[in-house]
Amino acid sequence: MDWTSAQNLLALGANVITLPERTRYSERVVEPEASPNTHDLGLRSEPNLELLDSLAPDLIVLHPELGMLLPELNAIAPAILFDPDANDDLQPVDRLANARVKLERLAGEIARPSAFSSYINAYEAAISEAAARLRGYDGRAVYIVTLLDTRRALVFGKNSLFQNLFDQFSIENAWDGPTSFYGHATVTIDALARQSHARLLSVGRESRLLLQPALQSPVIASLPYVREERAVAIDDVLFYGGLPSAQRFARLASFALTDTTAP
Amino acid sequence: MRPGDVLHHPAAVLGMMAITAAVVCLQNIHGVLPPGAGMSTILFPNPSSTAELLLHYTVLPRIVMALMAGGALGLSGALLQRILRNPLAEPATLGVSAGAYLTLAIAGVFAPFTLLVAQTWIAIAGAALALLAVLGLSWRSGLSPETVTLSGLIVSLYCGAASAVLTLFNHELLLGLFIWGAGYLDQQDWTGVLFLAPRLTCLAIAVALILRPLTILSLDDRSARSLGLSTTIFRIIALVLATALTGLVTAQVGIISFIGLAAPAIAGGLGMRRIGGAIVWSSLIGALLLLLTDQIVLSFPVTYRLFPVGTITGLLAAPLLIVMIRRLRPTNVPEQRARQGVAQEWRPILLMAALILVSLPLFWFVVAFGRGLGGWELSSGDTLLNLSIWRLPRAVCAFAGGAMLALAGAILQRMTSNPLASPEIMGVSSGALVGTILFIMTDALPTRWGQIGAGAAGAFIVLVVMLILSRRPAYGGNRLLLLGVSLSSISSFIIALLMTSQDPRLGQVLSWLSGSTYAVTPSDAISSAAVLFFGFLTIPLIARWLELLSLGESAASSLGIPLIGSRSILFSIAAVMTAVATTLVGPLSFSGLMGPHLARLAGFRRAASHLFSSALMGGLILLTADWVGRNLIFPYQIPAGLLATLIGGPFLLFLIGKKT
Repeated sequence: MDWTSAQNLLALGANVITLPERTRYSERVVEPEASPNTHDLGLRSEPNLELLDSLAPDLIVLHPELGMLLPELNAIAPAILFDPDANDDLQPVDRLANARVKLERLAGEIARPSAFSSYINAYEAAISEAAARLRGYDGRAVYIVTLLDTRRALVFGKNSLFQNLFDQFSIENAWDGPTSFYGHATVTIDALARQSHARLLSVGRESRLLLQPALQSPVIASLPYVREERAVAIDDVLFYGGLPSAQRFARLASFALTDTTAP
Repeated sequence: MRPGDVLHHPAAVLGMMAITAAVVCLQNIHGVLPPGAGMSTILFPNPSSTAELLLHYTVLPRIVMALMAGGALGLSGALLQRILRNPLAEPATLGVSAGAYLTLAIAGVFAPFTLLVAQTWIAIAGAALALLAVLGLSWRSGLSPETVTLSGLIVSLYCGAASAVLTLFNHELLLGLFIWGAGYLDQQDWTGVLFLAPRLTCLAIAVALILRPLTILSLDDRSARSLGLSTTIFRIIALVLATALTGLVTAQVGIISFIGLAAPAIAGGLGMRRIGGAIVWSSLIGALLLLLTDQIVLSFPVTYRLFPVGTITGLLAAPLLIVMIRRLRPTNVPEQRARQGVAQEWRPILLMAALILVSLPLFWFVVAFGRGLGGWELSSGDTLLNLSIWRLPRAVCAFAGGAMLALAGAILQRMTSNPLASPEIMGVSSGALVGTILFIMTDALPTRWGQIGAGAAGAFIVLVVMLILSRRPAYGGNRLLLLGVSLSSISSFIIALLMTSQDPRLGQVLSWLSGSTYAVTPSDAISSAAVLFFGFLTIPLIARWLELLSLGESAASSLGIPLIGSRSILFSIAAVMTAVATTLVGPLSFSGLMGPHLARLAGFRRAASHLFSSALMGGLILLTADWVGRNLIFPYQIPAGLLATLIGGPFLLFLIGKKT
């Protein structure tokens, strides 16, 4: 019913027959790839229930934000909630540990416990690969941002999936300001001037397009990290998608930060 | 002059605003200034010191920008209110901001790279196109104030709906647009200021040149014409100037609501009635109001950047405006007389019968016919039964929601004699909206009934406020509408805030906002049908009041109508209808505006038949819209409210153009 569920189910090798905004999923979430005969279920905010009913699924997995549909969905097929970010009183939030627990539970619910262990092996391998790549990293703090236009950006900090990964790689996040529930804040780009010796990592396609014009504003252009060209860009990563998102981010970021390209 | 009057003199008020603004500005500058650096660094920053650059390139241009933008908006608002002779007129009334927003949204989705090169010009083009559309539509009526305002509002709604469809399907692509739309004044260098300054100066000079003809125009058309002035030409010049002012500012800093409405109202409230004085003072007030608001926002600790100044102006200015409305002189909006069409009363009866006859088969059709896995299908038997679980509640709710809003709209339009009155303008939809949004955002597992409850609570609070205020003679007629608009600005503030936060729950709220019947259940359908039925029952009871009230207040009270009592009851009915419709199917305000107008154009003039046919029209519009929305780009669904606006808008404009 939603991208996060679809992404995690696909990671477990489940047969996902339908997901919403199918085309955009391939552009924004990218991996794990959905099979070409997956049906498009319509908008993420309003998955088409009539169509879902006629597809006769065995199980429906949905994010709690669609929770109010539960009664209707249960009439179609057994429906379960999945949210890798729901934390059971863990403080501070460790999204990776959480996502892992939730994924294991999901694997149990679709009766594929072995799929979980094989996915975790692949995940661990990918993470240590990224860690190995980052071993030569110069240790500079990094701003993780998605530029919204040429003057403003979303910046990721405490609470975010990306922060948890950076902690694992012992890379300092240059943004230590306040963040929302999902670990990001909207700021004007002059706020990125505080740690002038940092690096800048831009996430997302539009953001990549906006990066150069944004860096030309006088305040930002004066910063060492711009003058010394330490700003890099990667493609979209779903920032609330659990382990598969983390895996993708680790790989893309490790290549970008070490100035290597994916084979 | 009594001593107390000194405090009310415009100069005194303005002086106090200026001093407060200056204090807050200095405090903010001091906060950024590196220790030991003198004030000279503000003008000549050391290119290697980031802190000094920050001050020179972000703090200062922001102050200048606030003054310029506020002044231009105040000026433009004052001009518009004079030309349109409507105290509710503001830059947004002409569709200027909505037009700019739509063109930016189109560019953002289909050609994002153009935004980098020419964002300002794309926005200005949108503003100009919107103005052209408004002028074109009201040309035949000789640009009469009412037609211009009405066309402006409809163009605005129309652009809003079109952008909403784009947003619904592309909200990742349009994040920058949300932020622009919310109105932030922050600057990263001086280019924005340097771009606006010469252009705004030219426009201000042009306004000064047409001041004298405008003074004469503000009398009325006939006396202006007898003095040998072409009313149309001057009206167009003034409209173009006002639009250019707003368009330029909007393109640079985004949609900053309310300054254009509040500044002239405050100037009027302070006693500035001659046009020259009103225009000068409202631009000064606008400039200071925006600067003050922005600097106060800026001095909030850390989280300040979350609050877009464009929407916070609305929040801060609303209470100020509510106080000022009381001191406003009665405006010269000509009261519309209800024309009595006694001779033709049999024709509407036939029409009504036809409307009812059409409704029933239409219900069957929208449920039975539609697209599924295998393409278009006309289903029957078991499949029909299966599908009706999904389709029937939506059809019923769409019909009931549209009908309730149209009924509320018809009551409000007849009561206030204002063709622009609709549930949304009364602020009740906004109340329901805010209640529901707060509930969705705070509750981890939002339930349907919780949403309805929260929405109804919000609507009810607004309703009580409006009822209390409507009892006071100072808030009659148009002023009550002005109050409603003030309250709506609070809800637009919350929505804009939400849009910039990029919360993943945004999509759900967005689709609900756009009037989707997606989430309704069979029990919703039953309760909404019941409320609609109750609404129909009240029609015969309130029809007489409405007939007599539309003759004017004095005439009505001399005929023995209890003014306060009848008004309270009429408002309650309209508010209940709006609240239920809004919580079930979103704020579909367009059917509240469209239903009553269509009914009137079809020839229903007497209150009872007009109310009933308005409701039927509103219901049928949404029923059709819901069906089209579900099938047009299956499996994607376009919300009924949006579609009704997209399809019905041009139709309504055509009818208005023909009639006038």
